[in-house]
Amino acid sequence: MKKILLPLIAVLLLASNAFAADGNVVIIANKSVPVSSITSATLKLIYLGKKNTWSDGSAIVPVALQSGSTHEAFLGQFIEKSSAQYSSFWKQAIFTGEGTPPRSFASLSEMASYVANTPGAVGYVAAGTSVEDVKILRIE
Amino acid sequence: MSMKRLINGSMILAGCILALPLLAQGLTDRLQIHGFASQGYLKSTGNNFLAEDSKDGCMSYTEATLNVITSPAKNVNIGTQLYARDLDREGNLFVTLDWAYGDYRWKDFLGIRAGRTKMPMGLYGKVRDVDMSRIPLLLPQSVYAEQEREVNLAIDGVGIYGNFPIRFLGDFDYEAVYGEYNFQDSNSDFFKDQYALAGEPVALGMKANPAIVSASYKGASDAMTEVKNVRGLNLRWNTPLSGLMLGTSMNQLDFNWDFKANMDLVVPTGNPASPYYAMSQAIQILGDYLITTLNYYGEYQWKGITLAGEYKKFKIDGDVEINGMKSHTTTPREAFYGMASGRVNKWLALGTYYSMFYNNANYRDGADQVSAGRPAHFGWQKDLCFTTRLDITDHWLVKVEYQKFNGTGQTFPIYNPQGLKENWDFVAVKSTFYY
Repeated sequence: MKKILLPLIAVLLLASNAFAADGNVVIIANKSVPVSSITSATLKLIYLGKKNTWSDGSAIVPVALQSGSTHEAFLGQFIEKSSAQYSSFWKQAIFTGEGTPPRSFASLSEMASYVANTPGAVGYVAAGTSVEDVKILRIE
Repeated sequence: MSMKRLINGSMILAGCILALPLLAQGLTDRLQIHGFASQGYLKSTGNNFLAEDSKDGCMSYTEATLNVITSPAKNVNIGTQLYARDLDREGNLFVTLDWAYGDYRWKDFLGIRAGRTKMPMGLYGKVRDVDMSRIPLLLPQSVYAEQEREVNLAIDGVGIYGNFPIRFLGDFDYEAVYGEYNFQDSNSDFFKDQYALAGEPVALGMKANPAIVSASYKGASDAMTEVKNVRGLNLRWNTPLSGLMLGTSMNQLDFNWDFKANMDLVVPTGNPASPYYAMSQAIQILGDYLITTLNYYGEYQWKGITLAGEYKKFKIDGDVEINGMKSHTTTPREAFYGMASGRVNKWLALGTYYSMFYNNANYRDGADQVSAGRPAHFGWQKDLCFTTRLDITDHWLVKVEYQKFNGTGQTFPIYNPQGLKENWDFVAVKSTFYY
């Protein structure tokens, strides 16, 4: 048993210190989106491709950042995955044909602009970031 | 390897590599192209594993895939994936249709797929080929034996799937499928090994006949295998406890085989001048089985760490007919693993698992194997694995893995004609480019 537990503990100790996401994020959406608030559980379903339509039947268009602390914070806070785990989830979906990941952007401004101009779009920015022509969704 | 197979394999590999710089992000929102190409190195001590020359070290482990997914209309997806593999004598880089189906998601709780789809079996059954989505190189072999890939991976048929949240209880994913397997080859090494497992005890039984001096199994011929009525159900509960998922799957299929077990016999002649006579005899073996696989599994993700465990029960129940004599057989196989993996930083990840397999859960000490003329350690296979994943770029990774094995329950005797060793080691290295 010792020979099994020791490597297990070593892996856990090494990996548990590798990820630290800081800061809060704010959920933004296109003004056409028919809700003003959203739950963490719903966001998780949306970003894992399990919920595709808003309450009025229109398509949900989730978008994401490619990397960075805001991306890490969003994934940790709402999707309950590290960026590597999130990436692995979507690789599995791609190579089984079960879905394609949310469109991703290199910068916050690009993503915010896309959300502002795309009906049904939902994304996120770091708390305190100034964004125009989008609505902020309250977390229930 | 035929020239046609070689050309087919080369084309898919070339396609993957040439497409890489063009398609890293997919073509558009509506059409995405992805693929990977990998090359492995296998080295073992004691027994040849996965390849008949792994004790010498070999490069007989190549995989490549290319897929296209498009969304022509709202909630409609159509996709296909080509796949080629060379695992020693398996595959020979012959390009196969890995999956190809249309998918309509009517509601979040109900979608339908039709075509060739991946079999929803256990925690990683559908994604066993997706090397870049996990840290270990080989999944725990007790549950995801590499040699069984072809017979467990995809079915031609229909399926439904969906997700339904239940307020404070989290949410559930489900998938149910019905169809049939289409094997590439009833004479693959996997099946040859299975024919040998059925044929060798027959030879042993013949040897017990005083009218026969010796009997030995010499391979199968005229083999035909058929799988029908494959039905599968996978249910996952994403619990309200952050990062914890529990699931179960059940798969059932009707399996038939019909082959000739070729025996070399030596019989007495009754003539003192020439007392023995050597002859060959083909024994007709027919099997009609119901195979049921039950998996119970869980996965917990916390920060960069993933803990996973799975228990699998595999029951073969049916009638076997040997030269017209029918008998009933039931074999409950059993497998388990526990795994921990995690990312140390952006380029380095580590993992470990312990995996156990029993050929017959009623005889974990291998007593039934001894009765069948095999070593007791053919009754189980246990391995402790340590693995390292290096992400050299965003599209290239290298994995190095060491496994310490005890037992040979999933090791092909046909790769080890000199006999099987109980304790042995295995090292694998694999490089994968993907986009």
